Amino acid sequence: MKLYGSLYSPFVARCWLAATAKGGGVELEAFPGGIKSDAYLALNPMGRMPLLVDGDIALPESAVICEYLDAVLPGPALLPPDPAGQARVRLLCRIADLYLFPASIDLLIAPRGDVSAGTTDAKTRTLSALDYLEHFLDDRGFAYGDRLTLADCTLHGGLALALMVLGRHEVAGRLDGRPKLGKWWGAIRNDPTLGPAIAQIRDAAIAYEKQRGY
Amino acid sequence: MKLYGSLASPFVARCWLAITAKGGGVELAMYEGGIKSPGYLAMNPMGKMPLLVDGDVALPESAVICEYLDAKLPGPALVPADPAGHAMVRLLCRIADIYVFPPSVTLLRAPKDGDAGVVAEAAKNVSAAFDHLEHFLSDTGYAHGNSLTLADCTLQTAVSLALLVMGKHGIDSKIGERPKLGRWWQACNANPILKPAIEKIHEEALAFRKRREEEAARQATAG
Repeated sequence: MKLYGSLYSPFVARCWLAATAKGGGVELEAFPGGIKSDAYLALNPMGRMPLLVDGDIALPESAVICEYLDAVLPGPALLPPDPAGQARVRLLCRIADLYLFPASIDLLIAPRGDVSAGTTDAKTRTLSALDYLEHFLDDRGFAYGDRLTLADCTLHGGLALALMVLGRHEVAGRLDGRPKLGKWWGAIRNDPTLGPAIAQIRDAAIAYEKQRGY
Repeated sequence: MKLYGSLASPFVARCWLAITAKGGGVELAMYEGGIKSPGYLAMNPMGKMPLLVDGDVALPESAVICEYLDAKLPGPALVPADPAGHAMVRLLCRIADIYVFPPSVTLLRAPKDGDAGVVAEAAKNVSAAFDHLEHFLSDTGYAHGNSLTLADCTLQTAVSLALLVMGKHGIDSKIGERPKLGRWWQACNANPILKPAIEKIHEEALAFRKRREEEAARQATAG
């Protein structure tokens, strides 16, 4: 099974963390010819990374890939067995996808020191997304329950990006008043299963930022 | 089990179609006090509809609600049993959420003679989203496979909104030029299980728009 993409993308990183939590079994590489090549667009007309290829299945969209990896790879289940637990994990992932990532990406694109209405709004939306997560997060060191789920894999990249861009726009007190989020963030970065993959992702992100001059 | 929201919202309608496909079992209600009331925000800080309440589970987000309903309600499964089929259904839903709905909502909010650049950009994005759907849709009259899935429920409301808002701006959707999408759209609307619910949703949406227009007219007169 091959995952096409680069780890500086939080959407690729999310799948990589899920593969890591499953115990591996997925090969990571950049698509030969790039994500706008005809061959790539024939598999994924959206032209974004990541793309998972498993035999004759070509699957775009990181959230969909994560659930697929959980279903087909051996290793611990990354979703709880009960519908209510599954729904909570999916909800946390969805808050990242619909609220945290879009607002953080708006801030990532905004120039440093920008005080336009759009950027101010993006700061507010990013902080609101952190509040939504605080509302639904568990308080036991994992996003939900007492072990790793797809929510941990998804939120890691989401929060890393949000904290980075909020810092760049000099928004203080990012985890203040959000005790569950702060506790989870401390715990997840020291998780023994994800640790090496998180370090690998951080290195890739730093190298990319340097290259882009962020 | 209660689903809070109005069928005029495509996100509520999507859950309602899923409930219909499962054979019912959920009551639809408006939340007393509204979706910005402290009681509602305590369960759903995002302050949007729908919200599903099942005992002590309070669940926002239509895509999450749909999968939960499929797992909890009796009736036919709305996702395939195999991981690849399941992934394809989720992918179609996701294309609706990420590519069809956002530019459609932009077109919905843009006034009829609004910023031509904004309208053109959104229309281009809807058109691209239709192409993405064409790529991944089955050619069976169902979005995926040979039975109703959550993808039919989701795409019906997404495509319905896209066509409505393109019509409002006088844009030709060219849905028929995508053969799989065009065929699916006709088959889905004629589906005997979904059809009464689709008609009910359509009526609610019309009534909602009428109320809004009357309200706007009243305010204009008062002002």
